[in-house]
Amino acid sequence: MKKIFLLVLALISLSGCATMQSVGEAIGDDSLVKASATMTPRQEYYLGRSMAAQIISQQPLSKKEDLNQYVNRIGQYLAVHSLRPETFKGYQFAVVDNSTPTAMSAPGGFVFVSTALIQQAKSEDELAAVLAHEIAHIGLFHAQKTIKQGNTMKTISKYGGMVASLFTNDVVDADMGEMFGGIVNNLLELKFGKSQEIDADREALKTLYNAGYDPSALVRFIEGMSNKAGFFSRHPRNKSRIRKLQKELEQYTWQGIKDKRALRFVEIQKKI
Amino acid sequence: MIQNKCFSILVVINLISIAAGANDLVIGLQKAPVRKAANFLSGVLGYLEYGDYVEILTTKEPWHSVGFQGQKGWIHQSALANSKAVLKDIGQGKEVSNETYKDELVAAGKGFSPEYEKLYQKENPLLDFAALDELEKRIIKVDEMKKFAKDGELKSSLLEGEQ
Repeated sequence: MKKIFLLVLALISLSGCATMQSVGEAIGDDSLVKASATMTPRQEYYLGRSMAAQIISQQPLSKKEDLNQYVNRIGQYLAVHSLRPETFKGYQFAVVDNSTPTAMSAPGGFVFVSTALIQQAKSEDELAAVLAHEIAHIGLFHAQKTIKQGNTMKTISKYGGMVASLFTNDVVDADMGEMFGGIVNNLLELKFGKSQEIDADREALKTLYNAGYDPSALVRFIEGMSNKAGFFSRHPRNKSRIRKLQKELEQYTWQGIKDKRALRFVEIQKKI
Repeated sequence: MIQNKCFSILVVINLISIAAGANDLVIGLQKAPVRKAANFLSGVLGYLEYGDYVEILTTKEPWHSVGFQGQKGWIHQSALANSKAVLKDIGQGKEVSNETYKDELVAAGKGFSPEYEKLYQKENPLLDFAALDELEKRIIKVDEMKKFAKDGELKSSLLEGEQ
């Protein structure tokens, strides 16, 4: 069971930022098929559930129903416009009470956004941009790909060569208590690769555009948050990321944020 | 002559690929809606379950038409999965070998099932899986989604699609 616990912790570290191409090789789809080939949708779901359970044990779910309903509506609406509209048991979007602006996701469709992030976003479109970015990580199977690359396991190994025990029936004899805190801290600092973040940004722009949101809201959000802790503690922020996004944005045309959307966003912010 | 042979070989390879592909696809969702039209807002004819085989009749990316209870329905490609892995997952395939199990992704996946979740919960009683069950009950109906988009002046081709 410790094996599972460590894997969950390892993956939570990736969740700071994370849909589907799941048709088999038969249809000739892209690399997403390969990523899903060895982990089934059901396994992905249960893996994501364990990660989600860990996330909400550290950051409690907001009990404000209006807030949750609003975020869930935006998220579900975005999901049907995304690369991977359907997952094993669908997407779950929820708000967590946290004074740090943060957004997290877990394989299978779990996406969490903090109350502080909603407060600091300037519009519904910016909030949608963050959600679209997280949906993209799930759709692109970034957590699974990272496990496959072994990056997470290598990190764990720094703390005592426990990797081998993860894949055998050996009992882990070492006192893991002290080690454990170090592992958690280290894992929480882990990030997806820069190229994965750029890919998630690119996919998020498409999702936003397809759904009728302003794609440039993602750039505005990143710029607006650039001097704040939280979201970017696990997301890279740099000029090159913004430059890449601005270049991508050239292919999209946009009319401007609608008043009705702006109004309902302000109303929701008041409820936090 | 050589060109003809090459062409024949390519045709055979493609036919084999198509045949193999058709047999390789199963439902990858716990409950997959089969829709009347290739649109998420379309009515639902019924549902297929995880691991059910699907025979694709035609494809209109990213949608595939399938035969369903004597009718033609539509499934999005994200509802489909690789049959080999899924059938193993539901106990209809060969066990994963120890050698394969060394693969980190397989190992990670194998460790996550309803059975393991119960054990995990037992050892970590503070983890609130019941709260996640509650989250999963928050279903957004099609009409609700349409109203949300309309109220926010969100324009999407999906919302204007065939019903």
